[in-house]
Amino acid sequence: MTQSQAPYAPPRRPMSFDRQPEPTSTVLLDGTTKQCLEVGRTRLLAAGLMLAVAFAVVGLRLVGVSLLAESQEPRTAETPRATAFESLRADIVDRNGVVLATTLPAASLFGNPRQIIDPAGTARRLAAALPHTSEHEIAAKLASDRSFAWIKRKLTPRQQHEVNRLGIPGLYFQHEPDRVYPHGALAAHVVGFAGMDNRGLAGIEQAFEQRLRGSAQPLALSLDLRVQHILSEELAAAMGEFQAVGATGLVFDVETGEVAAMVSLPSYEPSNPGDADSEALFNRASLGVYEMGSVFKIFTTAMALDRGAVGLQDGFDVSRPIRVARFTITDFKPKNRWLSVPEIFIYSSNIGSVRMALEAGTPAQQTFLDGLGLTRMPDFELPEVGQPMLPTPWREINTMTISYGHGLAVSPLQLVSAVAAVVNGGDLVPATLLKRRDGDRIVVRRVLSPETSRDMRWLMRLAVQNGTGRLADAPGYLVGGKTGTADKAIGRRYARDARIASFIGAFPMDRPRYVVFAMLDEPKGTKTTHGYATGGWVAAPVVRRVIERMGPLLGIRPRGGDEEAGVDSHLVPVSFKGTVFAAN
Amino acid sequence: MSRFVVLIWLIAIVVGALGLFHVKYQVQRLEAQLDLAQRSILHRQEAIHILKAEWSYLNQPGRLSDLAERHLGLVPLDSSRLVRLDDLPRRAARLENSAELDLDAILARARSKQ
Repeated sequence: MTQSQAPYAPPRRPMSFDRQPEPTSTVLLDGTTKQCLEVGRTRLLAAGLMLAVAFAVVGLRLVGVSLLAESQEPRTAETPRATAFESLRADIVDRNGVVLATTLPAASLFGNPRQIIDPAGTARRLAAALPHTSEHEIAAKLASDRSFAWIKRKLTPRQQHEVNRLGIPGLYFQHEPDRVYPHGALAAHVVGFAGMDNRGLAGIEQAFEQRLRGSAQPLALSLDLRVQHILSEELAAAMGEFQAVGATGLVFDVETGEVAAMVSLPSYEPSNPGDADSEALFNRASLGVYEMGSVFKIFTTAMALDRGAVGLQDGFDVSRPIRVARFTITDFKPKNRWLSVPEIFIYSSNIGSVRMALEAGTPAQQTFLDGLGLTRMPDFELPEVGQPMLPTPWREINTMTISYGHGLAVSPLQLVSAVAAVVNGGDLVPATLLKRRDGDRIVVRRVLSPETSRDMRWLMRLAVQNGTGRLADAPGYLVGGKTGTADKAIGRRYARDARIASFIGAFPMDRPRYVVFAMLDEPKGTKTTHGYATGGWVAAPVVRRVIERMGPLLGIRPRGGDEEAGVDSHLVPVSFKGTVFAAN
Repeated sequence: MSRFVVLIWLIAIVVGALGLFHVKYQVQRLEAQLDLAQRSILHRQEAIHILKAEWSYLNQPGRLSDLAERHLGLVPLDSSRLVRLDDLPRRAARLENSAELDLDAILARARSKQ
């Protein structure tokens, strides 16, 4: 409003303080007012700017996230993994993927004694529902003043259902991982078992603890469960027929060193190892060391041939027993004449073997057996591996007894891998229980020449065709091998009536694929075996039946009955039954 | 003019808020569905794992051979039951005229080959 529109005021003399500011339409800022207003305005601007920036960021981010960002899987919802049992401990499977050991959820029963109304009655009903439980123990636990007490861990689903049905308050279940073995006693010594806290206590479970916990991938073993079953069934049948106290067997892949089957009888249930006795828990195949007897003649003959100490045409007079110190070495079925080297082998002559070993000499024998891995503990994946027993010092008398398999105790596992080296062309392949992948490099060591291996294959085939191993001949499979009957060593003496009867065979002998070993502990003769309980009578048939059943499974074709096509033939003058002729 | 603009902005705010909450609840619903699906997957995976163990148990070789013997009448295979194609009698030569159709001769030939 201009001065002219102001209400009429009486004129008065104008004074200095009357001076009014110039009338304008805007307010003129000066001094503190201006400053305050300026500050206020700046603050408003700043706040507005911040808000604008914030909203701009939100807007840009919105556009960015919805239009420009990579469309990825939404992050998995944080569901509580109540049971991830398969990832806690890996499965153990055989070479074909059959599950041998796996982890399953099991309910463990615990109670809160403070909440239990009637401890005695509860204990009675629980003991009735759960096997192997003591009513007294449960009652004592429930009557205590604690707030937590395990009653029974790792119940089966049926037991869990029974306990649930009782409907007793104060009892609770907690799910725990439980190690389960679907095939039970069949592969018990190989797979082993795990304890209550799922830590391995024996076998592969123990040896590969870190691997099983670290990776969820199943651990593939070299075992073929079908062959394992065949071997186990045949050994059990023989064990029953000849009333042996134990039996063991191995099937070994000659080229890759994979153990296709490892059986030790009696066996045990890995889900309940506490109930098993020490005989059943003992792994006779890898942990037990035995004086193998005549199967060692394979090594004696191979050594003598490889070192050039004898040739196939040579021979020895075995009519007289050998007397050394206070021992007399005789043959089981003496042939009182000169025997050629092949005959010594196929008729399993102790005297002849001693002569051959002495021809080669003690250092040669030591080096040879050392090279075959028979003098040191083998490097094997199982924790249950036996230390071989050697004579110290190794004198000539020891050389003589070792030549026919006494005085040096080895495990069946060592024996089988050594024989595999003899028949596969002379390479010692390390035994393994893990499946070998294609392209795995296998470190082998040459232990004898391919020619010696060829000769040994021929001799072993002869031993089955014409010698003591006749009952091991599976038609069409060209089985070769050696029988072994050893007196059991009890302390420092030998038992008179306790024997270990074994047979080691390989097939097909022109190009062996597998070595099969069967051993019976203390077999007794029967009427069918004319009272004999030697390797040729009790163990060789087991090997024959195993080979007949596993050949078709593993794709090994049986040849026609008569043709031995492919077996390396020698035309070698061999003395056979006293006449010299050329044999092949 | 400004009142109109203010009104437009107000409407925009309301629409924006409504849209925002609609989307938010949709996302929540979808996340809940995802959670359910994943729980269900976990459950099924456990079931598969347990069934694998059961499958292995049911495939015990002893059990299978027992069943095969009882229900199928099968016995273990051995080499005597295997033949090769070469062992089979050769197919008779193509016959040009019926004069050569001598069944006895053909059968005799086949039998001698076995």
